[in-house]
Amino acid sequence: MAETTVTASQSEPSNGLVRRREWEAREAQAVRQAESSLRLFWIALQRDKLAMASALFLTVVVIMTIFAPVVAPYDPYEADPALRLQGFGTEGHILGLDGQGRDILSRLIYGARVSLPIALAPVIVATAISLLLGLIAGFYRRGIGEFIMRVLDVFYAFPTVMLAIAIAGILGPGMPNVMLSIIVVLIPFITRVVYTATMTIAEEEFIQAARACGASDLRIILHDVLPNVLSPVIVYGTTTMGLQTVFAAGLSFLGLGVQPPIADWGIMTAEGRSVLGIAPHVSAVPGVMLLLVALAFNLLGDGLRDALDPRLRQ
Amino acid sequence: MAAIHAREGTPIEGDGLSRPAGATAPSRPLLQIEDLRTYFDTDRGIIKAVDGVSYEINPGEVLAVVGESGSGKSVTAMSIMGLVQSPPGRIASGAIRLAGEDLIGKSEREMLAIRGSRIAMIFQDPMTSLDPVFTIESQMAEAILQHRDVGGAEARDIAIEMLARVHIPDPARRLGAYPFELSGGLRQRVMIAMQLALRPSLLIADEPTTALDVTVQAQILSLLKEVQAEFNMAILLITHDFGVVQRIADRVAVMYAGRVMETASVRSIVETPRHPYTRALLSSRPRIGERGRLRAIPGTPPNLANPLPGCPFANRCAEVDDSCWIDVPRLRAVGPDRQVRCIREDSA
Amino acid sequence: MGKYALNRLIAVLPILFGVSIVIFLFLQLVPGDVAATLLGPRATAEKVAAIRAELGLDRPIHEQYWSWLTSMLQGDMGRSIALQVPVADLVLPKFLNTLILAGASLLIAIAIGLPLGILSAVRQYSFVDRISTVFAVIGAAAPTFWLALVLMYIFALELRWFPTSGMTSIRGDGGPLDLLHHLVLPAVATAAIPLAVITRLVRSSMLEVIRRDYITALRAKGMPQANVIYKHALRNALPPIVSITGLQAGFLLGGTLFTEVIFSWPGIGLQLYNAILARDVPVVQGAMLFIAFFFVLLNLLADIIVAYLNPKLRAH
Repeated sequence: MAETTVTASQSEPSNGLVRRREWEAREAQAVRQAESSLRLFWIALQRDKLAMASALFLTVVVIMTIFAPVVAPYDPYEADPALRLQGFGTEGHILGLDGQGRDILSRLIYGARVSLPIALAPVIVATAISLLLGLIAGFYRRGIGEFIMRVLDVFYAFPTVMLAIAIAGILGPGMPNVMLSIIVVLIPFITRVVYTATMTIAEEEFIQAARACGASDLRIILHDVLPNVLSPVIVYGTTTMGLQTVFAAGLSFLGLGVQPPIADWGIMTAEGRSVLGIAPHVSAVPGVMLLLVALAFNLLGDGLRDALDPRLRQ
Repeated sequence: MAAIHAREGTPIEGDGLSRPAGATAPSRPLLQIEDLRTYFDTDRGIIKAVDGVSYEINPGEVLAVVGESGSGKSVTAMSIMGLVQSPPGRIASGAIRLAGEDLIGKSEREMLAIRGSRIAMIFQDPMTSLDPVFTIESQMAEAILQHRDVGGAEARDIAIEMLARVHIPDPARRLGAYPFELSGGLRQRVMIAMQLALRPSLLIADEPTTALDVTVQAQILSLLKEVQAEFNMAILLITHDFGVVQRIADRVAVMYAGRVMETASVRSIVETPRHPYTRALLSSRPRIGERGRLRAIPGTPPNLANPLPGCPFANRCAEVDDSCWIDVPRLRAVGPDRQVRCIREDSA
Repeated sequence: MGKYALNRLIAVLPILFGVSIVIFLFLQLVPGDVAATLLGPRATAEKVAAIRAELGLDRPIHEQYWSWLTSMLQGDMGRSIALQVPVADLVLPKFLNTLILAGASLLIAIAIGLPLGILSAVRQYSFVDRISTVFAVIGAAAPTFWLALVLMYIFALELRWFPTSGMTSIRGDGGPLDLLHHLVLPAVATAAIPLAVITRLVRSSMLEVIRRDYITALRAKGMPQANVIYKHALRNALPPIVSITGLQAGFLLGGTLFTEVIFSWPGIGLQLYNAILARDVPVVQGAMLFIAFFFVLLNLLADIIVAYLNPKLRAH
């Protein structure tokens, strides 16, 4: 540093004004960057390479799911008994074949059409319901808010997985019942996230000021509170999407969710269980896929949380 | 770097605050910092938090290091303690001599014996500098047992004695208290008592009164002055407040952007500040009987990760001219026991 | 302190009341004609009528709840429809088996997670920290049922170190060593998620505490690293660790369901699973009641320990 200072001063000795402009330009740039928080968020997220890789991976998975008939090399239900249980790298079947001789890669791609919506749709529905409940409870803390939160407290007395399995099990197998059970167990958790955020925001001065100015409650909730509540909810929702994908597959694995022969990652894992000793790849492939999807949602959620946290943006 | 200066025949930056021969200097400085550079490696580049700092403290002397936050005064203190978190921090070069013995490069084990017993430290916020889940007695006793060759009962007696020395009423009863049961002023007294119990020769006080009420501030400062004389202890006082400096310090070093800008005795720096930054600091302090709003120094300190050439204070300096943007001025001796880092002093 | 514990205990009562309502309503979730569905298509009309009378299905719902609750409070959990034995006799021994499995998993999770989390925090960004973070992130995302299959394939089917199923060998002596031999794989599979959660939590709590001023002050006093980390930092980081460990202990009761099914561990999860498949709602209700009660109790215990760790609460 000191050396460059000296050499620079020797080569251009009377350049003070140029230097001064450089200073001013840099200060102005710092001010500009501090202005846009959305920009800061984007910069922070982009710096998080794991989160970006996760987002990319999930995008690829979703595109493959949508275009499954084009992408998948075979019909997921068409069996070739001659090639039963053939392993990785079998000619034309890169991920091998299952116990009935069906192409595992094709079933994996088609399986996403069940395994993803069965978990992601309930997260979205539960988030919508929780936003409503949590905003009301956080904004009107006495009376209705107290009632909502006390009722939801009851659901915290059950281990989540057990409760969802019991509900889905009693309702009987099938995709709608799995989704319903996920919605029921998620609502208490997401509502608490919304409630806590709403409570914090509702006590801030600018909300009090808006109230003093005679703004209606509905306007304050939609206009001032909701935007500030969204970021923790998005972070929570993203992280839980991975967990719920694994859980929904778990229900199907147990035979309490969607039923065979439908291609689903949980069912594929279960089908591999009976041939575990001779063909471990049959259950390994869908299991790894579930792991990767859950991992990607977790890492993306972590990345969003860090990027949305002003303290961590540095 | 040194070669360039030597060629130019001017005092090199590293020679710091050494007193001119013949001055009434005590035998040897207690602490001598020479050209200290403490850098932090971050993903935005190397932040030069301390960039060539030199100063010294004599036994029994109170040196105030003054500057805004981010000027490197606290990082210098942490460097002395050997407590710069590494990574990302590292001491790139320089020397820190305690009674002639360089602390840089000492092992963690050797530093354990120095911290607390030879150099002690108190912090800005007494509310957070005591462990909340242990009693005062247990926190004082464990430090005494660590550093002094005494038994448990004796450690308790020392603790009571020290609490009495810092004028805490009913010290034996206070020993059983948890930090949350004490006020901020009392906690700072406990912190001071805790350090005194280890009989250090240097106390580093990092903004010791900033978090306290004004009346309590005055009490803590007079307590520091009192125990400093009583224990013949040197104090390195870190502050941004010239009011505090005038109350207890003997000498001042003004820091900005990781460098010392001016050093002098308290009297000369307050009466005839020579660096524009010192003047700005002095005029930004509140004065009793003066009306109107405080004058803050406009602008922000420079980016330490990627500084531009020129005087680091140039963008905020009231007396700046074009020549200031070229090079970092040298710290130059301008009189007995006085140094200034300003281009005006070069040409004068 | 005693008053705090009492207050918490009283606060739990309405929750347990709510729990009883939710569990009672399980019966109402059964689609169609409840009695007919429970018995299946081959049941005779008389049998359906008998079950309807036994469950009180012809009475108004609040009366049904009241009689259900009073008999529960008297320790009568009803009879299994499929097996025709009292639910309590069926569930209690299974619950003890689950406690063995869940306890072993928790032990693994704490014994590895606590030191690993501390080490990761003390050496932040070191090799150990990076590796443990990678494992924690993967462990938290790994499906338990898949992990159980992987462990079974590697250690039971390929290496033949451990048995694939059950709690004791038929020809074994049924002693503690035999039990331990059967316990290892299901316990490790169940421990993965709590281990990941505890490791990350210990790391983040320790990091949070290590940044505090009093830790720097302790270092500045020349206190050795072991004292700073294991006495002061750990003690201050403990409350959230205790809370979350309590919660994870409860979740373990749920997490064991997959491993119990896969490894045929005769616990409450397997019992619940079989009852669900057989639509044996009284058994489902009984099992859920046990689990919920225990879960609430664990969290209450964790709350009281956390309060005890806080000198402000302990003093009052």
